[in-house]
Amino acid sequence: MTFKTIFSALVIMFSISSLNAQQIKSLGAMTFSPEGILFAGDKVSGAIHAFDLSTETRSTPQFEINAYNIDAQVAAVLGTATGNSKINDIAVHPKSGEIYISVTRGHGLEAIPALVKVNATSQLQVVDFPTLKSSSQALNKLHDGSQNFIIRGTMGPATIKEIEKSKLPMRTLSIMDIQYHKGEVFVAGITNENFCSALRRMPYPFNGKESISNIEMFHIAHDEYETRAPIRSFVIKNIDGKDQMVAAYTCSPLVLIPLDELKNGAKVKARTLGDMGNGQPLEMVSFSMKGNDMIFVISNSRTPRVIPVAGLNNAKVYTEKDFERGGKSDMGILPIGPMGKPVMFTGSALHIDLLDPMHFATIRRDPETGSMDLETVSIFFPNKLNNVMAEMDFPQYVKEHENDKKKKK
Amino acid sequence: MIKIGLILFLAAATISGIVAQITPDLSLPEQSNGVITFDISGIADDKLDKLDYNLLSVFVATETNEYATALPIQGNFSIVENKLIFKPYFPFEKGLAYVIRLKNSGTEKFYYLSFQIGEKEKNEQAKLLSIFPTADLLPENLLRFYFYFQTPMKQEEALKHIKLIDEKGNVDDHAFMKFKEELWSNDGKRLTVLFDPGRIKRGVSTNVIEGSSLENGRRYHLKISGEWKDVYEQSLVKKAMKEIRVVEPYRKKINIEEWAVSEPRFDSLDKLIIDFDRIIDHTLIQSMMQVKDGAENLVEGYWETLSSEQQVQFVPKNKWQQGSYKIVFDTRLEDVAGNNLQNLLDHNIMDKDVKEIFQFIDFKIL
Repeated sequence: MTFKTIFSALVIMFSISSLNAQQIKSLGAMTFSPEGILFAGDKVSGAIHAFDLSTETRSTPQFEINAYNIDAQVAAVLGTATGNSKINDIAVHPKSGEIYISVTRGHGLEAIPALVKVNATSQLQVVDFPTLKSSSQALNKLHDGSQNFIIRGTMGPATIKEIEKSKLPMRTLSIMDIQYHKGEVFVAGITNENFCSALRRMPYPFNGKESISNIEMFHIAHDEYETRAPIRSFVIKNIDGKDQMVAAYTCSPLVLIPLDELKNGAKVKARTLGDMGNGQPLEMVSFSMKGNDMIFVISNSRTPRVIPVAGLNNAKVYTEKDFERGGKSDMGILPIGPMGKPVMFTGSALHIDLLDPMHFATIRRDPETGSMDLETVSIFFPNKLNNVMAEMDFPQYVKEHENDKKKKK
Repeated sequence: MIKIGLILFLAAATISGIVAQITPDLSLPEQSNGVITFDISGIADDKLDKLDYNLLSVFVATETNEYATALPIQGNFSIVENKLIFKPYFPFEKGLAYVIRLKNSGTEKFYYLSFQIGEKEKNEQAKLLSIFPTADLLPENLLRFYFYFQTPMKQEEALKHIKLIDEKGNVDDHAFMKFKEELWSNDGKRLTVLFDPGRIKRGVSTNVIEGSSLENGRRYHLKISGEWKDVYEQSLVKKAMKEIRVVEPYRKKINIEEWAVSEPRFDSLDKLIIDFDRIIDHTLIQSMMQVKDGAENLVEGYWETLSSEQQVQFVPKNKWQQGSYKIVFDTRLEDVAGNNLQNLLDHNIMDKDVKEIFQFIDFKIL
């Protein structure tokens, strides 16, 4: 009997893909430039791809978009069973207002990328992305996919799901978020180094040049300086008179990183402005409410939070000197700092982007049915009321209310 | 293999307008990357304006077989020589049922036809393939067993299904180590079970109190219940039993000079055979043993274990050339009791550590 080394499917997938880094092998985190270039992270081939969608225009007036059971709809148009495709991210085209969805169709070695868009009338259309004008840039210092995470339980033996988590290659955190800013693409993620939390920046149009900085930050909840866990999501804002990255980490510090410090090879100390409370941020989106610059943050563990950018100017920077030693949690002092406030959001937000100045496009899980629905919600009250039954839903209330109105007249 | 079924069967040549005969005009994909073609030569030109999902749609079959609101699979339509061709953006999947909907433009009625490409690859049966070490005669200080399965098994319940039973039928519930998590290979098909090292290492409290799990001269059997399920909820095909006869413990560290090495012939594909003086841990052989030529180049080939892992053979890829060779052993290579080329498993920590990384056996091809 011969014994051959057992490789996981992912290791094989990654090692093959590294031979041909420019091929489009997956589509994950996405963002649009104002001109309509779609940037998508590909952690399988290890590259950022740019698709030119700049000629797309708005053809129909924007109405409310509701694509219920979006996971099942995506699977249907891709000709596969529900559950055999996974939604990775959404991004709204700045000109057409159409919502682009990056998808992984299939699992393991069979997995292939797909791009689907939802138009103003809530119709799905598969985007035949190989036919689009595109360019790619391969990323440097990527994990080869051979190293996995460790097994860590939650105050006890690890569950099967926790063990499954440990089988993920570290490479899966290579590309967490992408933003386009003034002719450059910024990418948060990790490199193959020990001090691996990294920000990459590269000019667009791509010219092969990539600058990689490693980021250290003080983590209030963990009471330590951290250099590995990556930035989960970020936006770029003008704070204290210069362009700075506002970045969110797991469990859940919010930090500032001036863009002018992001030089190739630099070890950058981020400024910790506070902590949003335990949990894992998923996505951040900039918007403006009544003329005020705001950030909307969604988390896999908390209701969304709205952070006024004004509060981040001249803000206190927290270090280890500000606290007694030991971990911090929601049961203690968290949240802390100018972290805005949590807002009502029925169900659980999985993905979000700004649709137009008045609306977000979001994919959320319905709290009662668990269905995954793509919807648009108002920035003032980002909710649908199908899960809420209140005084105002009673017919008698409506009647009385109408009578009151008449009396007033 | 393509499977076709008419959900609503149509008598041939009875449909007016577009579709004269359904099946002869329609060709179905035989492979995942195939296309659907539909003969449209009988259709009036004015009806061809909108050759899209109205005329021909393909769906992933739904549980209810209702397609009024279902979304068709998207792809490209083209016309080549009077044939409408639908190529989906993504290949059809093996084993998934699809439904084609054709519209009769005369009657505005829909007709449905289902098809499927091949069968979904079935899971292999859940089965215990082998237990290593494969020998029946095992040393008293045996450190571990390896269990190989055909399919990935359910984890965190192994010790419910694996029992060590002595001659009198008593089950030793403390024989094996209970870890925070079991030691499975990434693919979930190989389990490593360690004897409690405290029972093996001489002088450690559990060894003193409970004694060794295996005792020299006694017989045991290892019983694996047939109720153990794999991740697909299939139970093992049958329960398994391994007889064990316990012999003297391995109390000497490995001395490679005691191993006999065969002499491959020049210009042959002779296997290079090593006779061990004991049973070696089979999992370490591929990674911790290499053959190099006089210029330190790796000789291509692979290792196979023989005679219950007391013998190993190197199968060369290319014919042996004249010259000197050496077998390189990583000193972490272990016997089945966990002793390696540097130390015994239960060596005194005051012993000086040997810092060698490799040891060699030289041989020549004449």
